[in-house]
Formats: sequence, C-alpha cells, structure tokens
Amino acid sequence: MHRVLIVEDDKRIAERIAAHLEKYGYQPVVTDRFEAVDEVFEQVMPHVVMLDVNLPRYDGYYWCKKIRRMSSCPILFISARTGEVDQVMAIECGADDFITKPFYYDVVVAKIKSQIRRAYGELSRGSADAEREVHFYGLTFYPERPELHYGKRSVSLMKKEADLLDLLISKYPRTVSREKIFERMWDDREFISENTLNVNVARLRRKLAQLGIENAIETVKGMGYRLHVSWNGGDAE
Amino acid sequence: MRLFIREHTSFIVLYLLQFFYLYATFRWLDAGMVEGNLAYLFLVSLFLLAVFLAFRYAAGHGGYRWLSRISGWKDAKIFLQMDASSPLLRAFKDGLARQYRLMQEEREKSVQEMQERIDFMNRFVHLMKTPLSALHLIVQDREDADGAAEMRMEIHRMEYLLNMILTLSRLSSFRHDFRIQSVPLRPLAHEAIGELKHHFIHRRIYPVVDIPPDARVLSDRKWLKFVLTQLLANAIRYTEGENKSIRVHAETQGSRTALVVEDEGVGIPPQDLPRIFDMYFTGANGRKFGESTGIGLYLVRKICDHLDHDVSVESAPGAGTKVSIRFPVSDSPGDTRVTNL
Repeated sequence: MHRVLIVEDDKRIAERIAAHLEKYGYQPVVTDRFEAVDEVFEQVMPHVVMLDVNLPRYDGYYWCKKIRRMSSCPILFISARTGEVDQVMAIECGADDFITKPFYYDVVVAKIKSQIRRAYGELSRGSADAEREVHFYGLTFYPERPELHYGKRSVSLMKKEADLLDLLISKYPRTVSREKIFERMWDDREFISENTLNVNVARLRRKLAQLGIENAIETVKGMGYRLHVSWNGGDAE
Repeated sequence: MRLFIREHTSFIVLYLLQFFYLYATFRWLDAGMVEGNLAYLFLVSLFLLAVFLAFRYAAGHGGYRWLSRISGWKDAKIFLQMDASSPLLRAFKDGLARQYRLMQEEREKSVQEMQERIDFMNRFVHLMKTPLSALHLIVQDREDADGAAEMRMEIHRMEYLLNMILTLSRLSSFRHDFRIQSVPLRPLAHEAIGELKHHFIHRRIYPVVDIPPDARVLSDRKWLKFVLTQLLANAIRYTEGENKSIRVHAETQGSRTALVVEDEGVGIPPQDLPRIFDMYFTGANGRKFGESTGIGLYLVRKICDHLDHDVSVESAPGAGTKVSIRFPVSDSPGDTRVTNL
C-alpha cells in the first residue's frame, strides 16, 4: 500500500483528503508537526508527499527543499496561489506537480496515481494501481481496457461508454443526473453535446444487448439515467 | 537666451548709467581729458561688459535654457547633473535637489503603502480560498444530497470572483507582467472552456471551437486566456434556454486575425452598447440577471489596450452578441495567418 504524507495546516481539508485517499486504497498520514516536517518524513517514509505552500513557521518551499535533500520521492504542492511565479518556484524547489485550491478529489487522486507510476514504475503496482475490476450482479467490468464480461460473452467498449457505465454502476441503484454524466464524459479535447450523450447511451444499450441484456438502462424523465438489474445475476456466476 | 537677457537687463542698465555718470563726473573735473575720447572710452567700457556677459552666458547657458523650459521630473535629473558656475544657479540647484529627493521619498512611501495594501488584499483572498476549498470538498463528499449541485455552482462563482480580485490587483503591476509571444489559439480556447466546464454543463450550453490548428497570434498567453475566459463567462451568463451554443472561432478581419466569441444569448440593448466597457457599468442585462460585477469587461478592455488588441462588440437584442479581439499584424506573415476560412 502506498503511503501519502499530507502536510496541510487546514485540518478539515487534510482530513477530507485523507478520507478520500483511503477509499482509493492509499494509506494517508496527516501530520500537524509543521515545525519538523523533515522528521515526520523520515518516520513515515511516504511514497508521495502532499505539501501546502502556506504553513506556519516555514513555508512549503522550505520543506520541499529539505525533503529533496533526503529523497527523490514525488512532492505535490497544494496551494491557493495560481500565479505562474508560484508554480515556477515550486518546480524550482524540486516539486513534481502543483494543485491549486479549490480542487477536485478526482484531480488529486489522478495526480497521485500518475506520480506513483512515474516514480515507482508499472511493476511496483500497489493495490491502488492494480487493474480495476468491477463485479456487479454477474457482470465483470474492466474500466481500464475497457471491456464488459457476462457469462461467457464479452464486449469491448469505447472510452465514453465505459465512463458512463462506470458511473451508473457506482451510483446504483440511484439515478445519475445528466449533468453528472456530462461532467464525467467531458474532457479537455472534446465537449459533449446533448446529442453525444444520447448517442453514447444508445450505443451502451446496444452493447449490453449483445450480451443478451435488455432494458438495463432506464431513462428517468427530467433527471437522467438509472441502472436496472434486468438480467439474472445469480445464473451467470 | 531670453531668460539670460532678462536676468541681466538691470545690470546692463546700471552699467550704462554708471558709464554716463562717470563720464559726466570726469567732464566736470576736466573737460579736456574726455572731450575727444568719448567713443573710445565707451567702447573700452562696453568691451568689459561684453566679456563679462559672454563669460556668464557660456558658464550658465545650459541652466538658463533648462530653466526657461521646465517640463517633467525626469529633466530635473539632467539639470541636477549640469555644472553651474553661478552661485544663484548653484543655490537653485541645491534647493531643487532637496525638493527632488523629498518628492522621491514621498513617492516611494506611497508606492510602498499601495503595495502593502495590495499584498494585504492578496493575502486575504488566498486565505479565503482555504475555507472555500474545504467547502468544496464537503460538497463533493455529499454530491448526491439535495442542493449539492447548486452549492457547487455558488462555490465556483465565489472562486471566480476571488480570482477576479487577484487579477485586478495584478493588473496594477501589469507592465512588468506580460510577455508578447506567438500564442497558438486552439489550445488556449480549449483551456478557457475547460475552466468554465461546470458552468457550461450546468447551463446546458454547448461550446463550439472552430479554430484552425495552426492559428497563432501575437499576444500574452496568460492575459489572453483571462480575456477569453471573461468573454465566455459573460456569454454563458446571458444565454437563456435550451440547445444554445457558444462559438469560439478565428477569422480574418481586414488584414488582421481576430478571435471571435459569438453567443445566442439575450444580446445587449443598443443604448448600453457604448458603455459596456466602463468600470462598474452593469446595464439592463446586469440588472435583470443580477450577477454582473461591472468589472469583467472593464478588465477585458484594459488588458486589450495594454496588449495592443482591438476589442469590439456587435449585438442584436434577442439574437446574440459577437465580441471580436483583433490582434496586431505580426512581422512574419506565416504567424498570424488563418487558413481554411
């Protein structure tokens, strides 16, 4: 399990990040010893450090340089400062990446994940980095390939269809709003129109039909979509 | 020269009076001695006057010329570095130097005070971002709860306003903070839209980017992105209804490349159009939608002025608004060319 040291002087933020990282299979360590971050680092020997820029006594840059002298472990800065200068300063102190406040959990997890992969390689996969495998009423879903298996049959999915399915499964049995789906599917290069969303829902329905599953995605009028376990999950196990 | 003559007029008059007084005195004492030599005596005495004046002029003419045309404070420095031989000029110079020093000190003090106030404000804005981030995380932990989406929108608005304050204060040191380079337009547009992703999705507005991949302009990347984000935020704010889109495209206007943001929103009433770039002006739309700060477009105009970009607005109420930013023509023709339009 990868240890993540969180050095953030706002307790509520630190604890929330920690709780979230735990869910994703990391082992977060929150410290409040801001006068001896280097000692804490030596005790914990984390795989990744998350460091706030504004700390009591010494700032994050100071500790970043100190840690750099001991270790090449990835350091992520968290800061409210959005200026170019601040980011350049962080990089010059030896930081690997920069997250600006306010931030999304997804961004934090993605950045930690990529830092761990870069620093420790694909081979050193911890539990957090193993291929995700989602079991859902007899379906086996591999979001990273992406593929969906049911019984002896399987279909491969497109990235956006996989995102959609992942979201629907994670929220089951609740309805997922269209807005939520948009946010998940929208990326930097491609913006999602209402039409694209409809097309992806239709395609996912067709692929489920190829597995012999009909009517699994219900349209909830005026809200969004919901999974409905229309297949016999027990039989397929 | 004129100042020099005026300065010395009384002296010349005195000198001449003195000459006639002496002449009269000598004549009264011994008429024979001066009778035939008047012109000669006059010349000798005038020669001394001329030498004196010439010397004075040569020594001080720079100072005199400067004194008759005092302009900016920068010139004061030139004056202070000049040699001055006359005691009056020297005294004046010393006095001026003292004044100049005092003024410099005063100015430095006020610049420092201003900087302190800006730093203070920046510090607080950054401090405010911490509770805001905490709030943001709390909402993410309860994203299925009632009103979570609305709360998140409000958090985004607050963040947007805080960043606006930071930008406003940074604008005062703008001159030191921009770098003109060749900026590729398409990635910039994608980034600006990405920053407003949640706003687009929440309002169900679809962004369309129609910029050729090789389109580049001369600008400052960071500030241009800020300008574009502002324009997009406005376009989103004033678009109502379903299935509307906002188009960001590049076009050639005259010989110049323009970046255009076009919406299908409510448009701007013609009577408001001339004033939309004024500070704190919100207009009819601002009153109706109630989210206007009256600062966004002011900043847009200000930044565009600094960057030497022309910004213009066309709008038809009910049909939409089109904002164009025209960039300066670059020296290398390949740089700003927009193809396939």
